[in-house]
Amino acid sequence: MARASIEVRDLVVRYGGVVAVRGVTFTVGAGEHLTLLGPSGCGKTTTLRAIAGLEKPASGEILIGGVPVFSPSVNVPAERRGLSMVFQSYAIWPHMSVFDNVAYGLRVRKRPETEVTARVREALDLVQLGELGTRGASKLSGGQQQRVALARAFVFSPSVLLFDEPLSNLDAKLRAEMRVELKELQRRLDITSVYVTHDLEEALAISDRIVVMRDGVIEQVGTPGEIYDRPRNTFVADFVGSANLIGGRRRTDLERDGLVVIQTAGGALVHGTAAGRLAGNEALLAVRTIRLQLDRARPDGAVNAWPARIRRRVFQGDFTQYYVEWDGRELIVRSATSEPMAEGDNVFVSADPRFCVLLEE
Amino acid sequence: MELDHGLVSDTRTSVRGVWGALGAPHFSQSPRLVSVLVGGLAAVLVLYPIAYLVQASLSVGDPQARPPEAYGLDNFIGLGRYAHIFGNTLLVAAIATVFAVIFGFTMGWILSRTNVPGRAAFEQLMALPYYVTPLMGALAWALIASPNSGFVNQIWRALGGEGYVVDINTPGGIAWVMALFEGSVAFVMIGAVMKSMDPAMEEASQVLGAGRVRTMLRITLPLVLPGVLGAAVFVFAEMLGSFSAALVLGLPARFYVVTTAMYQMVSQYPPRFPTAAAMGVSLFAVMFAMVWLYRRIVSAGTYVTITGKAFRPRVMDVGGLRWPFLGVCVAYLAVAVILPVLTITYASFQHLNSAIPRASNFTLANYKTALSLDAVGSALGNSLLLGLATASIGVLLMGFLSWLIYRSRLPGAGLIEYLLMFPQAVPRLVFAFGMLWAWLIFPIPIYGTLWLLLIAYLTVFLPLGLRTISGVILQIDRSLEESAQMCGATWGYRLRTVTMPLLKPGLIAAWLLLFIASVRELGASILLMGPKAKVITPAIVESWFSASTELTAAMAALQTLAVVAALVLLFAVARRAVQHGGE
Repeated sequence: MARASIEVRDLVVRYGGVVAVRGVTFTVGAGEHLTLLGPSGCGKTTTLRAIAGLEKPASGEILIGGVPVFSPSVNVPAERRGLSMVFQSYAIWPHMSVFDNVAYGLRVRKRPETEVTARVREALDLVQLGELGTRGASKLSGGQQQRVALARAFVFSPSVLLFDEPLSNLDAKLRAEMRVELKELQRRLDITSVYVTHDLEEALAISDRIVVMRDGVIEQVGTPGEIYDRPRNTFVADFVGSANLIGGRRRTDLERDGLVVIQTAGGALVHGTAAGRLAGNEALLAVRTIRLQLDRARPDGAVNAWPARIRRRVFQGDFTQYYVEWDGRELIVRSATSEPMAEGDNVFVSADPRFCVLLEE
Repeated sequence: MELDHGLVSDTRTSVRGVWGALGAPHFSQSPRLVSVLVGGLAAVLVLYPIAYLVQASLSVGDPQARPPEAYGLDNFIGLGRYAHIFGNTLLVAAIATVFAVIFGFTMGWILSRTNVPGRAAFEQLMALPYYVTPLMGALAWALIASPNSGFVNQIWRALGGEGYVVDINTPGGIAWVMALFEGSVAFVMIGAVMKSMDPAMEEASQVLGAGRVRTMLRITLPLVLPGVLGAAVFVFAEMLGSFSAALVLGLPARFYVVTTAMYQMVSQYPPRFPTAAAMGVSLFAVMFAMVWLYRRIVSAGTYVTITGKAFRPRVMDVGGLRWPFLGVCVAYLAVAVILPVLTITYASFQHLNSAIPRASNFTLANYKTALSLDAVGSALGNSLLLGLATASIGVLLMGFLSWLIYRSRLPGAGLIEYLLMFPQAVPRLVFAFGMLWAWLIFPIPIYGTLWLLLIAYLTVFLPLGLRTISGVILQIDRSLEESAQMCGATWGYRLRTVTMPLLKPGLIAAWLLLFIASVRELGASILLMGPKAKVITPAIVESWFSASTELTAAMAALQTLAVVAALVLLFAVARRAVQHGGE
């Protein structure tokens, strides 16, 4: 099957006077699954639509499979870019049957009807809708429409599959199921994909790489693990799940083994990793709530263990969220242990320096 | 599957050649040119006549001279003498608006918020008064309630009364007929607001301890008020420009409103064009202000009630009151639809209009006369032909314009939309006056032919067609077309397989509306039709004032029958075509 790489260079998209995307550059390798992640209005959907050819950029370049589809002198219309797309609204045509919806791309390409039938069947089986072919498309549930939209998008073997928040209209349980199915489908189709979402879990689950965007610019590019544990700045740390931010003065005199050490206003010493970033006299570290540990006795190890007090406890099922009084402020700690602490308990909170990451400011 | 590989590399060769050069359906190369062209067309159709109207109103030399010998404001200053006519217009419009809003509000509340029996059916039937045009209503109510020969007064005298008990040839009578007609417009507007209100807002009030009455006064009314106010302003604006009821019912009593006075000034000898034009411009200015006000009210107020969440309007169980409410619904439809239609039909079969049926008085002679009159036959034929042409060209033209305005992201689309909706703020008679002047001096002699009427209809019905079609276009999510594009479908293929099939119901509705509206148009036709190219509605009015009422009734019945027959025929043909053409 065809797999194509995508290159986006200095992409700028304007809506009237508003600049939605301000000079975005990234590449997607052939067969790679890339996700554009960000809050609404960050330009992620606009970027996707520009790649699709549905939005005309003001400047920049887009190459698909090494061929320019947009540049100052070229603008290939969407229907000739050889891509496919799953829309947020599914965009299932209500006046056609499920079969006709899925067959559309093949019929556009004037395939013989026997091949159309065979490939539509195969696609419907793949999204587990084998028996629904003759049904009118307007009578489907949200999850079924989603699957039809998927089948319709990949049935004609496009070189790239684009996803515009395809799961955002489903309820939480179905969304979690579809996430797994989508991942499985991606693997079986072996296709290049660009996925847009504002949902962190979705992005972490299905991507090879994530591009975090805000206000039309890229904030960070990295693997799901990098994005999660090594956020580049406060925006990414904050947007990508919950993090505690700890600021203080540098204590270069205590720094060794490539670690950064800061002293908080309350006097606590915190060791963290620079992750290749440069630090000034004042520095800010981010640590995920799940990476902080609570113990009744001081844990072994020389650094990053401080006495603290449980202020409030909120049971949330998969984990318990503790609001902990530490160093004259509050830390949030998520803990999945079966042995809960009680409110008012005096405890020790600790963190592996590897997970206390220096932020760029 | 190997074949797909070529898709991307294909583009390299063809892109620069074909799409780069043409860019056609995307207008990516020359969007400004298309905007200018479309804007220009809209300007010619809409602004050209208005410009001549304004020019005529400023002409202070010889009233017959073209172009004007001198310009000044004398015509406007001279309008002081006609203050009573403006007063009449405001009076009729105000009374009619009050009644229309009461009708619309009552029906809207009963049909969308109570469990009155047969709600769904009544909601459909509420469109009917709109189709019984003001002209039909005026003719019928003249037969029912004119002081001398009206059926009610005939019966009153037969019972021993003296003189008359009701008189339709009064401001109140004109307002009554108009209100019955506009009531269905107000119903649609107010009913929509009531339906779009989230019942949770009322439920919240009740949960917090407010009773039904308090909830109604403090929550429901304030929430629907902008909608009601909007409907009132809209209906008032329409009423200011209304023509046919005031003509049929006002003329016998020498009661004039602005439109009928203008008509009188233009059709008398010598015609007083400049004064009429000044009146038209004044009326147009007031109506324009009203429409502007309406838009402001609608855009400022009603958003509160629209939550974007799916909900069902809460239906109140009104218990035993259901039956009186049902009675109200039946009564409105009876006076607005059934009574007028029955009256016209009844009168059309009589020798001499009489409230008391006698076997000897029944005849088919009126129909024979009407059909044998060449004027009627050819006028009816012309009207149907014009209706076909207006509807068919109109759907194509307005469909294209709607698509340009709402889908193509053309620069200046908002301005073009504004221009095209302009005729809504101009009474058709006033617009026709401008066209009369504009096209009289047009180098191609179309004055006095059906061509002029075709252009007039296409212009004055622009807002009607655009609103109907754009309503459907806006309902179709853009992504439905985009997903076809992403499947590789070209512009034409998308149009054929996705856009057109989805638009079909809207286009058919627009066609029907344009057809019906054209065949029954009066305000523009009465000024623009030539002696050799007559159309039916002005012919009916002519007959009302110069021939017998029974003959007029027969003509009105024939017109309605012809419209219905044409529609039935068209539906039959269309269905056969679909059955044969489809798979």
